[in-house]
Amino acid sequence: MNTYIFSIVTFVYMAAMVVYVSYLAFRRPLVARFASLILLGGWLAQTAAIGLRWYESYQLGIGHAPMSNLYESLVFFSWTIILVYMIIEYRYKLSILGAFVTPFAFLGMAYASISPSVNETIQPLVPALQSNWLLSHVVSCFLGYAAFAVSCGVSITYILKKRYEDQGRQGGMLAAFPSSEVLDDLVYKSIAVGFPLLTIGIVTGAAWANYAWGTYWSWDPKETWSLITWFIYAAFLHARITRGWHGIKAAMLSIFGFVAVIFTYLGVNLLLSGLHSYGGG
Amino acid sequence: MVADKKRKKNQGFAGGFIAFFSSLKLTIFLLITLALVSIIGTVIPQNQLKEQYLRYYDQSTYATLKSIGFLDMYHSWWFVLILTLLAVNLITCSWKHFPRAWHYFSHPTRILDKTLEKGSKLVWRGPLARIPEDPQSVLARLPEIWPGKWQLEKKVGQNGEEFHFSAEKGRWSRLGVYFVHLSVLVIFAGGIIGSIFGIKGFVNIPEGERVSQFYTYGDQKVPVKLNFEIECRDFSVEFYKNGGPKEYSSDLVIYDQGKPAAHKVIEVNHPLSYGGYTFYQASYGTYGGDVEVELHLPGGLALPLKLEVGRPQRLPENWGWIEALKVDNDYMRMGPAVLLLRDAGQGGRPYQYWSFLRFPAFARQQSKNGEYCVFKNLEERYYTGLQVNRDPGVWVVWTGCLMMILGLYVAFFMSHKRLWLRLEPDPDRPGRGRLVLVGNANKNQPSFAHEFDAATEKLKTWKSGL
Repeated sequence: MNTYIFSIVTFVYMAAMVVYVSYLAFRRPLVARFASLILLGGWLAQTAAIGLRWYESYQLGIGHAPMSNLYESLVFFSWTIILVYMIIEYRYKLSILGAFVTPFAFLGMAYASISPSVNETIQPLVPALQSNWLLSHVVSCFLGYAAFAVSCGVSITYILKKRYEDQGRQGGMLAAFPSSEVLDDLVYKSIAVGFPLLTIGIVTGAAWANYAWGTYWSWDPKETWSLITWFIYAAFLHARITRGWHGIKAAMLSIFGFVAVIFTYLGVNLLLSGLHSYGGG
Repeated sequence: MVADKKRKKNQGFAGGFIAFFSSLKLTIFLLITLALVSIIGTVIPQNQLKEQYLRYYDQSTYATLKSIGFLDMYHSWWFVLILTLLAVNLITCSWKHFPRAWHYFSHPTRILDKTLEKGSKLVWRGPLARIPEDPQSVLARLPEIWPGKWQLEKKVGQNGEEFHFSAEKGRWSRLGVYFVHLSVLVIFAGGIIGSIFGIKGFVNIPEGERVSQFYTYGDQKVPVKLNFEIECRDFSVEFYKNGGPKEYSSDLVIYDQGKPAAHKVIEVNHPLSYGGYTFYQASYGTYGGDVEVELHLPGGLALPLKLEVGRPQRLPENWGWIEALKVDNDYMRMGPAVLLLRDAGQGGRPYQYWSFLRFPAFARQQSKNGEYCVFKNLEERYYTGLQVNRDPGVWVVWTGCLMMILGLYVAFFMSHKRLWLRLEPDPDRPGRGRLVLVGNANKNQPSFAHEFDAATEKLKTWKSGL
């Protein structure tokens, strides 16, 4: 039942994405309002389906939070991206960013629903995953990832806008974008939110590993890649303080950071092996 | 950068050292270098046995990779060197910039002078009917415009007496970033303590037995003595319907000087700590338990036997010997099976055959010399696999982690907000007064601008009423 709702949500997010992109072209406030409504509807349905899946796992006698395999984490990742995006859209009134952020959530849901290698069934937890750390570790990591997804979307917007401004052009689609300063500030802010969350995610993961295996850090590929991601965003935060690294270079770093996030999240499970290999099922 | 170079010349070696190591460019360079080289260890498997490496590398590649430290890169001299450089960078940079931040902290600016006024973005000026005689009454009313602890300073200006009021919030947030930097050093320290004084190993304890040592990992498994004993009283495992393990636990008792000193049923995620060591449920397995078989002799006689793996058993009369050579939990994907060695005596050659627990009829078809042996039951004995660990640095690491999270919160989300108010004689309107309000926040200026506007709205109602 829950997977059925998730497939519908995938299409709803696709619809929202299309309307956000058309808002870029038409610039009618009504279009943006419509896109936000579709997105909110999809997100509410997704929230309900996550709750339902949680409930169903208890019905099966293997109750656990729905964040324990690739399918569930993709769904949860999309959910956090939309959550973080909606907060930013509401706070900064920047519907323009929807076209650059919603694709990430849509792709996540589409990958979860369509790819035959992603198992949709509710599976029992292996002993190592049966821990109270699961929830705090996964939630902090994915909220962090979502903030980074937003920062990546905004960075792309920033680079487009900055090039446009530097060429001294006027008119066209990019004219209506927020100024590059506003976007630059938003890139920084989303990373300033994501970085502490990633730190909490790494620390809770280390604490959990220490409880389960007696080692808080074992340089397993997933751990190492999360640290690589952490290094890149730490470099970004320091880069912003020095003048020479402001602007495009910093935005590129934030995009590289998100590439590292995606590799930490998916690449490690698909291409490398390690302690988190059960997350790839 | 030009200024940096000049300073380098003027200050000689020490100055050059500080200028190089305190530079943010070095920080960014080191962080990105760390990110890039860390990838190596995620692509090349780390710390495996030589034989494992030789399966996918040839001898010379293996030797090269080993000599440049790629097979244990996170402990190689060059990786540790980069981490050390980062630590030096962080210390020098904090050393250089901390005094300024500390000055903010210890010498708050109380006087709103012209330089401050000129350099500020948030400035508001308003008329005032007259300068009040008792500034203390103003001080009492100031929390109305902005909650906080307001301070009063008097100063003689060009046209007469000026009163300076100042208040600030989150002054200590200026130190947040240094707290984060310190936390990195604390985590490093914890890691170093762990690698010097810590030890890691494993031990397998059969159910019902006691041990007083464990073994280190690696090519040579060195036994490490414990000054107490640990007993596995019981081991149990539960499975899901799909066959995967659901939960496994060991009932452990610690004996210190022969007396029970601690007792806990441990499972994955729930370890037992004693005497500086922690015991984690890491694995489990079965080992040579008793094999129950039924030997059907010619003439229809069925003889029930209990065999211990590896120990030949003599049969009554002159029926010879039988031995269970080994037990396989899933032989030829047909479930548990036992390999039996049968010596019927009387000059015949001993022979071996497998008997399957799930296929008793199969044993009958295989009968030789009119006899066959049915595998009736496997009395499995479990052993528990424990990971043993002593790491005195782990609490230092957690302290560092906590400091880092708190520090990041302070550094990113708390700002140092300041307001100054000056009451002075109006230079253009003799006998009248004037209000000057100046605000400053080091972070999140837009939201502070709202607070500032709210404060000015309040002040507008004061112009005559003071």
